[in-house]
Amino acid sequence: MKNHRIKKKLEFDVPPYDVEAFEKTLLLAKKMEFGAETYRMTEIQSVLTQVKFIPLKVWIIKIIIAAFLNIGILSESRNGTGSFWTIMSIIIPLLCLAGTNEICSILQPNLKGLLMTARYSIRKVLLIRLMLFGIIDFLILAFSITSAFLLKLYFGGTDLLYVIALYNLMCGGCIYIINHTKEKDVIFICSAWGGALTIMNLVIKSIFDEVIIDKLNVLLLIIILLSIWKEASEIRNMLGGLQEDGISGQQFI
Amino acid sequence: MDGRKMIKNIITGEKESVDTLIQMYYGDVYAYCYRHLFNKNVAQDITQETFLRFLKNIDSYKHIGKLKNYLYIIAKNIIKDYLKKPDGIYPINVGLETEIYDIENTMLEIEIKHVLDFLDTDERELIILRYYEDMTFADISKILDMPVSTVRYSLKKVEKKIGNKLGGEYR
Repeated sequence: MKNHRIKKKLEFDVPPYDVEAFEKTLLLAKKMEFGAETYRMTEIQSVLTQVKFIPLKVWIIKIIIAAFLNIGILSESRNGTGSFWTIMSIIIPLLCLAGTNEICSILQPNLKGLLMTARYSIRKVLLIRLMLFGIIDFLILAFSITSAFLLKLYFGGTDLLYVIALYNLMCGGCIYIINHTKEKDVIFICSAWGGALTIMNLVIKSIFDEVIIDKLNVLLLIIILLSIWKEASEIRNMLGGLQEDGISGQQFI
Repeated sequence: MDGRKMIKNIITGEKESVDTLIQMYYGDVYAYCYRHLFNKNVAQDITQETFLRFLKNIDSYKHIGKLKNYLYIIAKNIIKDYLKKPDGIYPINVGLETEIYDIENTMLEIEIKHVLDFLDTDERELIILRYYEDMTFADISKILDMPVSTVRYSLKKVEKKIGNKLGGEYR
């Protein structure tokens, strides 16, 4: 129970607040970042998070492949058997294959649902992963090519075009397979594609080498351009497929 | 709009709910601050700070009852911090903005302030919540984080203290 006499004695009017003060509070509150907005990551944070998501075994496989590539180059520089293209034909598909599972895994239906509750869109995750693997493979290949060059192994423009063409063919093929086959078969079919590419290269190199040698650079350039075009269209298809699922353009929190 | 729903909307980034929140509670929080400080400008500043601090820490908000009570807790803490400052004494609003018709009220405020100054911070808080905000014992106990029985007992003690201060019929 209140003491009504005291209540009456303590009564006074609170002066009305200034409208300007009220409006200023509204304005400042609107400018503030809070709730969902504070969860938004910067581009660098998104990339760093994805680096953490790539399992240790993938890193180890990539390092082993890089080591094999460099051992091959070293032994080639000592023995000079002319097998630089053979080494590349085997190693590049393997290098590309070592990240396929991580790209494929986020496209599984269950994980798509889970990613809907994640902090950023599945498209972004996919693009970051593709970009990350591209950068890692580029660094490994750049390191190997530089070491081949420094070891005075024959290394001309044709070799470089060959490496780029082979890598693009393998990548484009893997993305095509991811887009057009069931998840459980992806790794098997990608491995088969890598194997086929290796054998195809070796056969072409050994049988048709003399026939195509004059036009090799032009041929490799055409292959590079076609494979880049195919890769781009397959990545677009992949992202377009996500859009059809209605989970791509959203900024999830 | 229900407080819980409003908070949910704000967390998901709905700016209109921020407007609604401020429109709904600005007056109450301002009045609460004014009753503590008797200074319009400082009360407005603290009201603003209360809302900004609330929004900044909205993720840690736990719905334990009325949203207004939660805002009062934030305001109470800001007022405490303000009063800890060397110049944070309870000032009386007799600035240039005071108009003639307010003078009578200002004199009354001085008189009431004189009574409230006699109380310590917690006792003053009790009186403001019970006598000015007309809160229930349960709500006061949540804001002051003490059992209802303690609130009841403390309030009796404060009423007696005020009665003694005012003397005569108020005892």
